[in-house]
Amino acid sequence: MYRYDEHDRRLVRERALQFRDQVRRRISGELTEDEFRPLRLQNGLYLQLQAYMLRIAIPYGLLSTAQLRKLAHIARTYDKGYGHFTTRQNIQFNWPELTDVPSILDELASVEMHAIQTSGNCVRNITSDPFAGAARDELVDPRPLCELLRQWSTFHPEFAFLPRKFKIAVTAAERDRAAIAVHDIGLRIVRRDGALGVELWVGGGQGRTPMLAEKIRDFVPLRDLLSYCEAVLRTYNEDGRRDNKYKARIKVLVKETGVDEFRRRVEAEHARIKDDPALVLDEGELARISKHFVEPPYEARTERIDALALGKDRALARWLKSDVLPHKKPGYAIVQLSLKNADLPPGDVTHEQMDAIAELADRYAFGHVVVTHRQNLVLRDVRIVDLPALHAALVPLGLATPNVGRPSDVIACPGLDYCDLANARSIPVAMQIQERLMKLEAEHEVGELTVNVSGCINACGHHHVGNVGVLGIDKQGEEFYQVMLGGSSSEAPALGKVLGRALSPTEVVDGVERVVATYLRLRHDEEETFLAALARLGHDPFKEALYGAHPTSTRAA
Amino acid sequence: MVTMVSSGYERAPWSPGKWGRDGSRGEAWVKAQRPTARGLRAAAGACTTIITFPIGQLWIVPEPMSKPTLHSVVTANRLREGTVIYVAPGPRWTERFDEAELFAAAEAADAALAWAKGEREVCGVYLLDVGVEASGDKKLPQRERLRAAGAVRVLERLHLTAAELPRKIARPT
Repeated sequence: MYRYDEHDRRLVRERALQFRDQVRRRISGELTEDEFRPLRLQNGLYLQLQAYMLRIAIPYGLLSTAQLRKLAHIARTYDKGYGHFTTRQNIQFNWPELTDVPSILDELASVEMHAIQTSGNCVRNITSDPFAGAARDELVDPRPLCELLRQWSTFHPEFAFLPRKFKIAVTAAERDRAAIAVHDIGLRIVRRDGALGVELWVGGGQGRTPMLAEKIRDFVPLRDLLSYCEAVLRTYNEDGRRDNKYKARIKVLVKETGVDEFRRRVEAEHARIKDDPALVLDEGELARISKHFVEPPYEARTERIDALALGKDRALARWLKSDVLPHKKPGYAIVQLSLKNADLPPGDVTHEQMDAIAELADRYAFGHVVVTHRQNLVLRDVRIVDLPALHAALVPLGLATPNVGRPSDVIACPGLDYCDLANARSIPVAMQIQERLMKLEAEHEVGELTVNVSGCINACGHHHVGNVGVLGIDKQGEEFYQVMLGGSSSEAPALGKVLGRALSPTEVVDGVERVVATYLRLRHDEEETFLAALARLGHDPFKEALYGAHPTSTRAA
Repeated sequence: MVTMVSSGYERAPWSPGKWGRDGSRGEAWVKAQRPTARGLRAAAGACTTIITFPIGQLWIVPEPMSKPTLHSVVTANRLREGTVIYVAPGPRWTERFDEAELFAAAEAADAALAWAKGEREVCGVYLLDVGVEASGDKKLPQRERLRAAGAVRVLERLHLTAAELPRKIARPT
């Protein structure tokens, strides 16, 4: 993985030092809250409902075990003993005290981490395929490009005050595990005539106006990658709306100007800057970064996952089937650790679990852990021969729930339990849905089906792209929930469609269970996915399942 | 036929608390819609007017409902740790919602707000509306109920039902 050079180290240390002084000045009264707010936000520190929240960047979700142990230490020392992995592959601590945050930033800097650009109208953490480097279906390892983009976008002087936040996702695989269609820029690494380049998508996003990205270039050669991204951001920075926060994302600009006109402006800007030596992607630089992402020392092995699954241990077999995936190297597997069990909110990990995961990653996975945008963790390179021992170690930690990619692998944002922006709680609803669906999964082979829960229209829980999406809303001070069906963030992206009136917390839990049960009852066979069944049957049977005999009742309209 | 029976605030479908404080929102509304002997007695007790139409329909017009009166509370977060606090008489800060000063007059609320904004060790100061019922019970939107609950870990809260949550807040321990 990438290691900081002296330049990176200095930048991060200086930033922590600056923030220490800013906090001192805020406490002493030299800075007012209005003056201090943008400063703390630039360091990922939010004030939530009843505590501060520190969001820490995890570039493309990749953590070393030293970093994970440091996060455990921070959770234990400065927080309430746990952290929350987010849908942007970051981690959030929910209870830090303001005066401790400078020390937390120092601790982070000591393991090459920071909270820079995790808030504010700038380029946020670059996200990617959590299986990068190990996936069978990837063209190349996308992480060197992610790292290159991270360095280009970090402290980019021109893009520190964009009209609104900006999110970039990168994939190099056939299956899209990075949700590039719902990012401001989505990059798919492709090969044309033997040369690598990227397919460039712009203007996707969720939030209050969900949109799927538009492809604006089939092929951008690697040489032009930075200059093309720079041209997109310059066009957005220049033309994006600043008069209305809700219309300030690049998706609105692309929509309002039309994709052809937007493309024309980007191309014109690109023509102007593409030979700027500072922006031409130097092969030497890419090679230098790529050296940080060399393959670990794999052994020559031949074991197979399916052979293991034939044993008597049914719990192991179920886990292998749902949480373990084939690796590009024979004899190895990709292991997903489910953070969706009955004990903790989705994405939450205790400090004891973090330490234990670090221990297991050191023993079995070359010392690396990856965060997924579905709020799970991945041990990327595990020898198949080690899987039974790893499973046995994960079970008592509550990290071997056999449900990754299954309905009970529910995504949920922090919601009104923590978040100042939320309208309704996500966690209790998500956990109750999860509990119900676990029962269904125990009885049926449900297959892949995603349930995503957000506590407000900002859509941190990605409800628009859940096969079943749940959105919390506020009606006269009370929590209600809309249900939408048909969303997907895969390579065939789609936005869900709202079924009808919003439901009470109890009704929505029952309703989602009935929707999934209806799918199980009406599907042709186990091969027919929820989305395929929905396309064949239409929304009506599911609407009926959700609302029963009162589809238009005004009870909660 | 009785078209509407309403014997009080909790069952009134148009009131801010819509379906009562006990978490059984929908159920309470359905009950209110269904004329029962008990409901009729309750309604008759609360009614000032009973009108009988020639065709035999009975309309019961409920007494004008005692709507909660709107008060304001000044709230903020402590600067160092973000803890939710309220302005109490004095003025002073308190972490207990039940100790917060209820301002009926806008001028008094604004004065307290100005005092709060001048305090150094706080941030995120704002006025929040509280509905106070004749019984003295205070009505808050869910967001404020959760804030008033204090820094209870989500997991601890999870075991509380929707009905228990506001009660816990009403009697902080």
